[in-house]
Amino acid sequence: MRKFWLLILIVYALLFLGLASMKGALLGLAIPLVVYLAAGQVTRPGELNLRVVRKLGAEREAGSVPVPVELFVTNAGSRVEEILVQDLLPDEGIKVDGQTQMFTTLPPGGDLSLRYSVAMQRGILNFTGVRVTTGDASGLSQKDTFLPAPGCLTVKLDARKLRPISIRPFRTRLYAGPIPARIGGPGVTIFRVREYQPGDPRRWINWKISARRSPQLYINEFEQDRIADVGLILDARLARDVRVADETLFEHAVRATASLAEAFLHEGHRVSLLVYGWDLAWTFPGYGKLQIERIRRVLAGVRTVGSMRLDFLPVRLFSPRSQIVLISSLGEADLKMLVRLRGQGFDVFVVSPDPVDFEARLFQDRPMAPTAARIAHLERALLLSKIRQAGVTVLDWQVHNSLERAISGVRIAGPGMVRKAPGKVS
Amino acid sequence: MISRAFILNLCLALAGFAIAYLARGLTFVAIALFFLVLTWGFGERSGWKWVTNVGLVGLLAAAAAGTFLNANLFLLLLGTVCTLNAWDLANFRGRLKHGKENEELRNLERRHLTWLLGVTGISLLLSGAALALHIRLNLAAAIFLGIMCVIGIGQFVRQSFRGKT
Repeated sequence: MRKFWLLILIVYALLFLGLASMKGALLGLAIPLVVYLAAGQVTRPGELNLRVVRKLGAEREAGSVPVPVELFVTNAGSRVEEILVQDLLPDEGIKVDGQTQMFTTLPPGGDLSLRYSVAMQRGILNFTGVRVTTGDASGLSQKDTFLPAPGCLTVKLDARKLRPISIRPFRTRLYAGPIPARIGGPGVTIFRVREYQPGDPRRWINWKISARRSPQLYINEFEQDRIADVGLILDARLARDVRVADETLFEHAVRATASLAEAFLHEGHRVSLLVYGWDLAWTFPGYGKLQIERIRRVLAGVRTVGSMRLDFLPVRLFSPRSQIVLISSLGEADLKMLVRLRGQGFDVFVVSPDPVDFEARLFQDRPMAPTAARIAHLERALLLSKIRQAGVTVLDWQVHNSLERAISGVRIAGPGMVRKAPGKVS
Repeated sequence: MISRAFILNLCLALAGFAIAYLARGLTFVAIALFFLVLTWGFGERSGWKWVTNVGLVGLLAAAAAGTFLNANLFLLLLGTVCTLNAWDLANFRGRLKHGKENEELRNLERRHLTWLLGVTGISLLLSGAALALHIRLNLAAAIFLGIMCVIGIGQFVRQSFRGKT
């Protein structure tokens, strides 16, 4: 618009100057500018009537796989001499390959298409629409319009599979599963021997003991194997994240959460997820592949926000005395809540990506870095020791190692969770 | 294509003004205009956004000054029209940067050049006629026509803004 006003100003200046000085030549020099302005107005587009359609190659896709995006713009109105169509990309640090904007002419009934592909590690891309700038041939009267063309693309994490993880929470669910439930009944492992009661299956009778203690019959009681409730808590607090250049510790934590969720769900457990940041993202407990999808979808969009204390953790969301798996780099202030969780009967397992090791590796070349890292390591070791003393199992995970390797040597059941010895008959 | 047309118009504008001023013996003005055009061309190449408008205002001011110095009016007119064309092409080139080099964009370039050629032809015709014709008017008629011009351009501006959001 500034160009338009500049020309108008020059035209007026020439007119006034010509009239004031009675110089007709100055008026003659103003004519080309007036003709130019008028010619621009002749090609000015009328009422804009564009239809925009967006097509996404997929609504959900695994990480790093390019997803094609197509945008079709059809002109249902009059001729548009110059049109610039720009697709408004969500600001997510995505890699774009192709054309996201086009400058062309649109005749009545004509159409144009933008084709490109987007790729990212994880995230939810919410496409809103396109910005259309139309103008006449002179480009003096331009008009910006926003046209909605919504679309949502979820790029899920590419989680690595883990071997089955053995857990022993206090309380299990009713359905059959892989966890010894400390309850007698049908099963594989002998739980105890007790006196025969009417209704007990005859094939459970322990004939040797029954022979010794005749006439009373005794039976072998087996330990029931059941599934458990597993509550995953992903710590998404900004204060617990370490960000160096493009790499963040939080990304490793998110990947670990996805892997753990898949591992527990494959075992048949009922898994829920709580993303603990400034706002709480809660995925209700569920089973199977559907729950894997739900959790991966939630994890695709998580970000680190806020620096709330762990004390506000909504414990009531989790089943009493169930298994809780916290994925957090941990801080001194978190100890209190972990002790409280343990006191409330939860079996707590903490997967803690090591922030000291992560940061130290990136600053190896600095002279004071090794000393600083050593001090920080000692502080962290002390914190982890205090947490372990509270009966919490902690996995100190150096993120350059794979989670599978790190988790393989960990015995998740805490000291209070050791299986009871089978009952003895006195 | 657009870049070549821009350079051609810039050279023609310089030639028009320089010859007009040199004919009046004002060499230093011609040299100053040469440096202004050089700065404009270099600025366009370097991506200086301000240089386009400064170039337009500078060269049109030179054209206006030339009428007071009794320079050749047709050369001044040629310079004015070519300056306006160069200014338009510089702006158009800026808009073309949003597009990708393909056949459609080349068609758009061709259409724009055709449109500009038409505008140039009409401008030269009307301005040439206006400069060639000499009609004696009294003061009242001149003032009346002047007021009509001002009102007419004012109406044009209002018309341009009608329907804009």
